[in-house]
Amino acid sequence: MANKQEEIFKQWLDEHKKLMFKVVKTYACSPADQDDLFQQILLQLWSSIPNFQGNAKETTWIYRVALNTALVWKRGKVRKQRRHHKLIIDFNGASDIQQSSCNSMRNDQILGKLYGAIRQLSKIDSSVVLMYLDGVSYDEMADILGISKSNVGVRLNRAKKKLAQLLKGIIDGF
Amino acid sequence: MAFDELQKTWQSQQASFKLTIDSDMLLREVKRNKRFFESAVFWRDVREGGGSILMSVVFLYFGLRMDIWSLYVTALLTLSVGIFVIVDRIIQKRKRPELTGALMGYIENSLAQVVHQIWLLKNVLWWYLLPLGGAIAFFICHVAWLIRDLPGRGLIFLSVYCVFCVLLFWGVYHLNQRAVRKELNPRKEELEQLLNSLKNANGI
Repeated sequence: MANKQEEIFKQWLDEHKKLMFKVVKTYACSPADQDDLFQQILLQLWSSIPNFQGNAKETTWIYRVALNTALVWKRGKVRKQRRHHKLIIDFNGASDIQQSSCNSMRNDQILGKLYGAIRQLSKIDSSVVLMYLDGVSYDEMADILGISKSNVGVRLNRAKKKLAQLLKGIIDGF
Repeated sequence: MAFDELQKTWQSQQASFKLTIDSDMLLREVKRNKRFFESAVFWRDVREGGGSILMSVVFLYFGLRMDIWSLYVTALLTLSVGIFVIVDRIIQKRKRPELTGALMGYIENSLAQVVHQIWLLKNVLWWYLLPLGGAIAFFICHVAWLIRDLPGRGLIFLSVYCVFCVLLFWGVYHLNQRAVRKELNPRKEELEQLLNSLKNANGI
């Protein structure tokens, strides 16, 4: 059972680490906070594996755990409680675009501004935008958030308007 | 740039994550953190619930040995605090928020837990300080009665002990109320705001 749990954990980490990175980068700014939140998400994910029976899609499950953890996460709480203070992941290094083409540098700048703008939205709107950008369907979003599909639509529209205002010059009129 | 293009740019960052994770190292770290959290929770429960039960056993032992019946009452009241703490912990563990459920339910449950914590700390006088304080006061009064014929030293000691207990309990009470004001109330407001924002499609 423990081996199976380890196997699933490693597989999820390998296949869905980007999803977790994006949630972490959205809800935590400083490297130390990002490390805290990432570890907290991993801890909760590990604990959730015995309850995973395959009824939900893996991404839906991981989104739920990651978002539930991130939205209720309290800054610095884990760091205070943990014995180890060494950062396990350098998120800035993780997100750096290594290619040096002009196009990728421009993308990098846009992404930096986009993360900044998403962080200025309310926590719930941030999560809706995050999932929208990741291509999650309205049905899944409603399922993950526990609200109706129409509510997701209204919220997303409003969040997109705010995002367009925050990213003037990058996003064409909404 | 339109939103569709922005979405594509966002999704393109997946390809740019160059960092490879050492999953074995992370797994070790996660397991270590889990053990640490579990042990922290276990020792907190032992400290808060077990401490009272241990004290009640000590009171009972001395009550039987020295034949002071007021120590039985003290043991009983101290035991009641320990039992209350343990029962409350068990109930709260059962109500722990389901992390893999929808966000709405998770926030509702987290809020309920914070509200319960606030209730506990606001009422610390009734379930913790008063039974323990009453137990100590009862014992002191009985001892004072037993040594009423002795010269003043015993009574002075008891008075000093009494004042010490009152000050200690007053401090504990105010520390708890401070925790409610500084930590739990802001947390409650934060969760309520999240919940309202989630429930209301028109937002905050």
